[in-house]
Amino acid sequence: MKNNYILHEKARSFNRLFSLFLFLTFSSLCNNTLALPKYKIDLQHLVSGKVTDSHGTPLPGVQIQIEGTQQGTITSINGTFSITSHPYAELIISSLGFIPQQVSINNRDHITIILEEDITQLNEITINAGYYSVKEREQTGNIIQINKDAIEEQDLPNPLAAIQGRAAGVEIIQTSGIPGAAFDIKIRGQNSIRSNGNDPLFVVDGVPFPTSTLGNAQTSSLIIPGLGVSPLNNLNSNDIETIEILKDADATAIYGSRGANGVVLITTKKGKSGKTSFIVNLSSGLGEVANPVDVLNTSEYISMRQEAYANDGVTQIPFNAYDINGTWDPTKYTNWQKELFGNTSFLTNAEAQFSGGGEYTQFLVSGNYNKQTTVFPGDFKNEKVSILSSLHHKTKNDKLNLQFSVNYTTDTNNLPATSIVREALLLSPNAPDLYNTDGSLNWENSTWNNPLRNFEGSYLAKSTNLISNAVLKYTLLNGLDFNTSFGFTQSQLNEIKTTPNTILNPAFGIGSEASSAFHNNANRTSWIIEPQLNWKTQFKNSTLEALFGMTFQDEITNTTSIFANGFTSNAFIENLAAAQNVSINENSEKEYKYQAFFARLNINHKGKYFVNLTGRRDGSSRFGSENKFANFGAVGAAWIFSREGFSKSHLNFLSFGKIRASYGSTGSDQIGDYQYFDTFAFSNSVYQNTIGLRPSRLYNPNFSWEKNIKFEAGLELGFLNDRINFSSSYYQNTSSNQLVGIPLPRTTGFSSINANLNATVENTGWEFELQTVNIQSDQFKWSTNFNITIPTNRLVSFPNLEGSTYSNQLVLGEPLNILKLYQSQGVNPDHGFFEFTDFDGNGIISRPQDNQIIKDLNPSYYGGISNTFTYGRFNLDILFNFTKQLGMDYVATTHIPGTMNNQSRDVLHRWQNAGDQTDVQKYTSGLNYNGTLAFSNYAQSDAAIIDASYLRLKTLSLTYTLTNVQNMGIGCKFFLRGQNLWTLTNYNGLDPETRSNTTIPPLRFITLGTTLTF
Amino acid sequence: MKTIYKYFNYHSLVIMISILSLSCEDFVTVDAPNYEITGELLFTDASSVDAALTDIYSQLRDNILTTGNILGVGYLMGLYTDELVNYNPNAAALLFYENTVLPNNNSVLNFWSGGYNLIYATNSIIEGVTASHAFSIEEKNTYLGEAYFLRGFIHFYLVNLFGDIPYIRTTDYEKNQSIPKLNQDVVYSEIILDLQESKSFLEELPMGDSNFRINQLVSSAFLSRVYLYQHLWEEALNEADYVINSGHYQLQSDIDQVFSNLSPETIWQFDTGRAGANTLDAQTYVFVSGPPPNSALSEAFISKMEPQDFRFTQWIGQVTNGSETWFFPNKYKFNSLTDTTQECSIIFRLAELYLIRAEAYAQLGQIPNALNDLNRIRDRAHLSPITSIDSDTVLNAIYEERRFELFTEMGHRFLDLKRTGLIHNTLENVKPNWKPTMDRLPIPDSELILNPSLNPQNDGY
Repeated sequence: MKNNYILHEKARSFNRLFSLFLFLTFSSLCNNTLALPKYKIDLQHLVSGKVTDSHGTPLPGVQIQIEGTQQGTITSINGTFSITSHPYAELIISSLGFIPQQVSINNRDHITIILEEDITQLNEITINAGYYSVKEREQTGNIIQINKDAIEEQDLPNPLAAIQGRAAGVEIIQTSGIPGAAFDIKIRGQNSIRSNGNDPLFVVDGVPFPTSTLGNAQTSSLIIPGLGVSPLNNLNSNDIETIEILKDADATAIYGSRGANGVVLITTKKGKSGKTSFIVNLSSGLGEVANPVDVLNTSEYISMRQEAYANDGVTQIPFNAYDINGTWDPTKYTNWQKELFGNTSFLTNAEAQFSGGGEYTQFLVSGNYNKQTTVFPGDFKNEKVSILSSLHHKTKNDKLNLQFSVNYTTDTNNLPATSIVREALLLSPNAPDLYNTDGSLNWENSTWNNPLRNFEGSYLAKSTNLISNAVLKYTLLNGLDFNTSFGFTQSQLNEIKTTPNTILNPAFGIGSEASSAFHNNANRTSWIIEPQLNWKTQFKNSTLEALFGMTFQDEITNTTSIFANGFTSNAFIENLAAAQNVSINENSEKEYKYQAFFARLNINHKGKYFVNLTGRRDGSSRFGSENKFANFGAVGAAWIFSREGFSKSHLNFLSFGKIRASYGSTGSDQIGDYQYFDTFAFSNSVYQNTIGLRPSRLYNPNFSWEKNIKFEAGLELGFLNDRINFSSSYYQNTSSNQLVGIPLPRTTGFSSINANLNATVENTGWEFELQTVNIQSDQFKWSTNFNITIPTNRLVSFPNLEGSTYSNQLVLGEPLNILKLYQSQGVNPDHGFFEFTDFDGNGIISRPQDNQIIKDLNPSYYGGISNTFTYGRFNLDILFNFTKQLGMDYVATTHIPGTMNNQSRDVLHRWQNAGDQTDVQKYTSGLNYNGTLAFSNYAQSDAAIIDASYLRLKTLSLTYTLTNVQNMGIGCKFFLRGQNLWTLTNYNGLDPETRSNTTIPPLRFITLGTTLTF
Repeated sequence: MKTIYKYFNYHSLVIMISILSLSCEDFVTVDAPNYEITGELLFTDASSVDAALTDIYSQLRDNILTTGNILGVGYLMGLYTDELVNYNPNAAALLFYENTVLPNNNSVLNFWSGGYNLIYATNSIIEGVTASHAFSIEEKNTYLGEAYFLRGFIHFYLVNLFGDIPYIRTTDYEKNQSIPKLNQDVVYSEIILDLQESKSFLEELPMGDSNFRINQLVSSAFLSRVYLYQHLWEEALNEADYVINSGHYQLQSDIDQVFSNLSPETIWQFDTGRAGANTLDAQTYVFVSGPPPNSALSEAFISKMEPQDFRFTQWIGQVTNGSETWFFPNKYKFNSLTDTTQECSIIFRLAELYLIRAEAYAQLGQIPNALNDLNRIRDRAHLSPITSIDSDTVLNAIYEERRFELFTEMGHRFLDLKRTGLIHNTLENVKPNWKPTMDRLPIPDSELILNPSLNPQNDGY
């Protein structure tokens, strides 16, 4: 004791030194502790055994543990095990998907154990909540898990594709069928008035993964919607074990300032102890545009054009109406959609995975190759190679755990520089041939812009992505763990967009000296360190878990973009050295720093009552010195009433029942770096050898966090021994202190200013999920999962909205995503043009007085239903997703019917004669001012809004298991999969999901493949 | 042993946390970005202010209002009036050619937002330089002189395109977001104030002897134009006199060399920025085979030119496919890179000053002086002199001369038709959709919504 006291004194004087020592050389301390003496164990009795399932199939990898000890083993490939223990010890036998059993050895030498399959598996499912994990049934918050079976059924490289239709409260939209394009994800609606401030936080194996693109709008915006290649494309779906989506305050408050829009946790696959396995997965597929727009054929088109000129009183067809003035062949017909984006996209996927390990060390190495071509003519493709490796080790005394994983991807995306979808839709069906007989582009004497000129330029993106993380966990005392997670990510993107002179009409007489190329090289590295203490203790009837941790994160983005022009030959257009002029457009380094403390306290009383407290204090470099820090926190509680006596006696039809609620706050700092500085930026313009400096923005140093308060209540029920599970949640999220770019009139010099707006946005909604096991027999199993979300989005308060610059965009009490439109009175039967309600009666249809009609473009409900059938060796999984929503009529997105643009066949119902009652106005060649004005107003009126709801057969997956590895030593499966096979919709544009007619819609894919396991 | 172990962990943790908490504030503080310069710093450094000023020049050259590309006033208003014919059925310019410009037109918004964005830049320079103590009085005067000039220059184009507009003289967005329109005559007097200010700040000689930047003579030349537009004949005459008599410029007698970058006639031209680069104007207008990919000069224009006019052969290009012939503006001839720069876009040249002075003389009844100036221009084009002494005839001859001397140069045709009040009579017969209210473009409708003080919309829209 005295010795100890002296040591105390000494230590106190050196405490600072010690702490540093501890912090910096933690690993050496760990090594010391490894040398601590181990307990002696009585080795008395050797027992061997075999574990099978109810059909007698041996089960490998089953955990066998001697009760009350850390000692245990696992079963071999043929289900056998042996272990030495006390002859009367109890063995606990457990395996995922089976009901655990406790077996007494009873001095036997050999035991045979039959494990019963757990129908729902729910009891065993552990949910990853980021900084901690929780049993699904005992969670106080709302976290959805998507498992690898669903993820593997997706052929698209982006893992978000797997969530679509499977998770209540999560709205996923594939923005384009072009390889590399992003998926939009919104978790429980739009919280921020700013449309680009609604991304959730992505975390891969504990490392925050920045999903904002490194791409430059100048290189990719004409081909990939949004801001370029999505970084999520760099994750390989096949390497993902689970995706967890954190929705409510209880789950997200521990992510504080970045949790407002929800959190997506991605966990990669890890090795498992047991026999070393080698899995090969090969598949290939074909994709195409499923639903082209039904456009006019040549004779319908020609008569539309002639009628338009006749309507306009033009008898002499003008010189530049090449389509009908005799310049072009009036009988020629080309299906431009087929010609320009009707090719087949080929998809190839090859994968090998090697994994295994013993009780203390497990490993996994996997490699993947993925290639997808486009539906455009020409040799465009996206190729991706990825490698994942992970290693887990623990010491024999289970005190030290090390988890390490590295994920590396390289991706080469070669696309045309410009999407020609809209051009293909609008091109006259009798437009000339694409090529001359000598194979060169046909410009038909300058009478058209050959659409394939766009493909003379190309977009080439090469990216690499590294995500690595290491978690060191050390058990300090029984129940007290210290762990530190280290993460490092590096993303590199090199893009080149070429614009050769050949995209120009040769009539300009411009040679390759006018060719140009835009290079964008960007690099983002970030590191994160999160030291944590976890403490778990058991009182009489309660379990207490506590966690305290810190985050330090630093992210640096370097960008260099270069414009080069004046090439002696287009053959060298990608080579900067061959350019006469090279100018640097951007050369920047952006730094983002982030620091936080977080904590959690969880109490589980008798396995029936649960309380979970979480909190976080965050600091971010994105705010000025007055506003850098903020606090966030939440409380969640749950009561499993089915474990109460009254329930067991009076509600015995219930196999499970829980109510839960949570309340708390989160925030958002998605405003971009350095926005509070008053700066001038280098422009890329040169004048008298000086590179210009341009004011960057209107200056406001005082903006701060957006605040988001979340409330949720939920009910979860299980019936018939959990064969039927039902859960429902109600949520209410309120976002205030809105961090927005407030729109300003251009007379201020800019279009907006960053500021906090004293406005409140509320998202409420109901989510329902139903899982049923409909048939469960030896031969045939059928289960169904259904989910539906009914969201409401509402602008609750906005002081002085009428006087603000948002007055035309927002309406109090209405959703954020609305359109304020003119009220159409239909096509006037007398003169054939659209007419509109003149609300202010001034004789002119104009904003903001006359656009009084509000249409909500948010979905009124969405969801999915999946059915899984297993019959013998066949497995069939069918997923439908559906959305009820409005969209813009295709006709309103085109030019005026009658101009030199092809049209949807819907225009055939146009007004022709006085008295006609129709919803398509009289054709005009564009020369009629009133007609032009009426059409422009129509496109901004309620008549242009139509039903864009859809029901889509999202995924169909049929698997046939030829042999399995347990019986034959080699496993062989074949699978046939389809994506977007069938769509039911009234929408008349290309696709109701994207609601866009400027990009490739999500493709219909059919894939065939095989999985071999050794 | 065990206790020590426990103690280490407990204490070291507390200490670790306290040390780290102290450093948090520092941890999340970042330096100013390395690719931007703070406003504070910019106005302490002469080359930075110069860079901020030249950026306005290059924006006017490349993107905004006076640019020679298809977004510029020269091209779009040439189509809008009777100079050019649009041949590209898919071009946005079609709406200008067909006179179906609506309040939500993107090119109209470009004029407006581009203009006011540059005006913001001029104001930030005026405010920053005025407040700074880092510069000598000479340096300050140069910066302020250029900034005041540019502010007036941009407002001049906006008032001509839109009529009544706000005059922005501060960077304060709180004021500018609800600023009302001014009557266009008031806008003109504000422009004159800025130009007088500019003139007083600037030195007579061009900076570094180059005509890429504004000097006192450029200010005078522009003032002369503005006075002419305001019917202030005496003042216009005086300013034109000052420029013409300065001796720095002389008419280029070889008409083929008028638009060379070395032309002695040039008062202000835009530096092309890159060695070997030439004008955007040439890229917009020049083509080598027909039909024209974008546009060509109109029949109305070509047919009115006198056959012996030397400008017809030297400033107009021809393309024929055997049966048809098309004409295009060929003042600027190089539509691609050359070894060294041959041509720059010219904003002011001496010929315009002679024509301004001629008009001012004519308005003041000094017909012989007017004819003297007018005939210099005619003479250079190998045209016979005008001899009439009737002032209306002389004035009309000057207007016609301006049409053929200044065609497709930054919207002169539209500006002249408008200021002389001839626009409606001239265009109603050649442009089928023409209406009298079309002498103004609509104010972008998004602007009326964001700032209701800009109401009412211009008549006719």
